[in-house]
Amino acid sequence: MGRKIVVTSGKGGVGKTTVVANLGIALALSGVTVAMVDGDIGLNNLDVAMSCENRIIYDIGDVVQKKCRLKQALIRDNHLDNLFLLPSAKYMPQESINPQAFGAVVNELAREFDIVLIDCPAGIEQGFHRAVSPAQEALVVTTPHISAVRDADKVLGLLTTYNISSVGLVVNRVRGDLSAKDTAMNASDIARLLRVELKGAIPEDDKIGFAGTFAETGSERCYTAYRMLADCVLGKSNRVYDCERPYQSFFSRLLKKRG
Amino acid sequence: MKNTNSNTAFLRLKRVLLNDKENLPNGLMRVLRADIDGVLSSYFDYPTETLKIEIDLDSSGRYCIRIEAMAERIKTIKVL
Repeated sequence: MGRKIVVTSGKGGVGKTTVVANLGIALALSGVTVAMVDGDIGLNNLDVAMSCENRIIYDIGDVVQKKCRLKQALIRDNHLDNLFLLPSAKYMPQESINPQAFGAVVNELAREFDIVLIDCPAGIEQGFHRAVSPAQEALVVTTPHISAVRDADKVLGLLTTYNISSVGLVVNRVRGDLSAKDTAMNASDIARLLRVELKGAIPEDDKIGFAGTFAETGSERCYTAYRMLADCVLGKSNRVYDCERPYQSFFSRLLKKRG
Repeated sequence: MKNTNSNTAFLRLKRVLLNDKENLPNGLMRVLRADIDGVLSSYFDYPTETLKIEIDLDSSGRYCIRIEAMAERIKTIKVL
């Protein structure tokens, strides 16, 4: 049985979908089979982030309504043979897919794939419950902004009421230039405040916002950051990308190390 | 701690998170009190009104739980 990991945040716009898409690619590059499920019914964007919006024939709504088989609805990635996407239902009301039906689809995927990544919708209502219910692990995504961290804290509290065995934090859109100058908080500070293990820090990159994935933009920094996040998820390493490093001189790094 | 923007943001965020935690969920104290009373009254003869429960936050955001009760005697229990 594969691992079922939900990527959630509470606050919208912090980059959950971007993290799912890029983490999915990074995990697939590591050699595991990955299925990404768009749990954001009605406001789906994972297909756009993966540049496969024109290849959708069936979606999760069709699978739940038994209009097609699960395999027919899965879309293979444009470049990677071991990466698949299950698109969300575009024209269905939120309540038409209940948590039990959603969980059954996720469990079926977990029988076929090593890792199932669930892209959770923003908010903490029905959509959140549906996406989190079938998961065993969670990655909470935040940005360094106070409002996003506050919402992440609330979500961490909510996750304790679910059957989730491991929770990690991903700090997205980190401005290494600012944290290197002590102008903004770094990812470790945020993890310390939230009392949760830091699994990844992703540097801010304007190109990702427009193109969706590091594979499309060729962003080397994001490539490295997501590969390190994938290694953390796979348990191969616990190193997190240092977003400040490109902005620090050798001596300032040495001074920081010495405290 | 140096007075930098990042420290200011860190302290502000810490304050916000602490304020959020101060609001305990509705009914938590009532349920907790009933459960603790259930456990204590199995072992001690004590007037329920002496049971005091306090929940505070320390400076790092951890909950400090203080339970106080005055018992007349320990109940006779058979340990198997």
